[in-house]
Amino acid sequence: MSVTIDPERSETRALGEIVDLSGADVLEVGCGDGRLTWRYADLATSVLAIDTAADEVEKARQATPRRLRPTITFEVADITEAELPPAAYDVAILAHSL
Amino acid sequence: MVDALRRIHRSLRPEGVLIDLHPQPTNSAVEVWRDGRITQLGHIGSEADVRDIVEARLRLDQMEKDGWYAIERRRVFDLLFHFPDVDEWLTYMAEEEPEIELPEELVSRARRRLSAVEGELVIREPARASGLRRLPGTGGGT
Repeated sequence: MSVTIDPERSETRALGEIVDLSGADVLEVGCGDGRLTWRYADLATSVLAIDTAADEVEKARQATPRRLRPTITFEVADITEAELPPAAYDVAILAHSL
Repeated sequence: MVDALRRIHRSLRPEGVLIDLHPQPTNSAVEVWRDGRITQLGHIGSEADVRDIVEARLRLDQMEKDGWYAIERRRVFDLLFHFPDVDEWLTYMAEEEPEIELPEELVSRARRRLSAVEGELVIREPARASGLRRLPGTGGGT
């Protein structure tokens, strides 16, 4: 399957217009294959990106650019059950998962 | 969903921001791009998806009314999905959006348009990004 999603980076631009991710600790819920995560993670201090789809999370882990690996942690988790630390994130992104 | 929003609220720092990225409750446009020209072929979508999006927005609005979050900024944009041909689009739809029925006439038109020349099939999904500031909330801690 060959699809290119948002090569225009409209979504990343909208995100940047809404919040400053520089130096932020970010929680992303519904990260899927990491498509969006890789586009903003350069700015962040840390990113915990979760999704319930194990195959998508594995794809995200495998395809994460080397330079972003220290910043991003991909985990299989459900936000309604995950053990998340309190008051730990500056930004939470609900990516198409409400 | 409310439970998810409350959990996120708990994990955000006091001045933290929740970003919601979500499609608009409308159908997506199907287009053919070739030689710098865009041809609209029609629209696709499902009533169930639209209903789900509307309900999700209502729940988010309710969290705002209850004092958990305050809307700060919104942006609307088009999320574009590019496919090299019709078959790739159909494969994607079968895997990712199986509930959406694609009109045969629309698929045929797309095949005709793309058969003679190099081009792309593009799905244009209107979307919305919302930024909500965390507030103390109802029993929400700090």
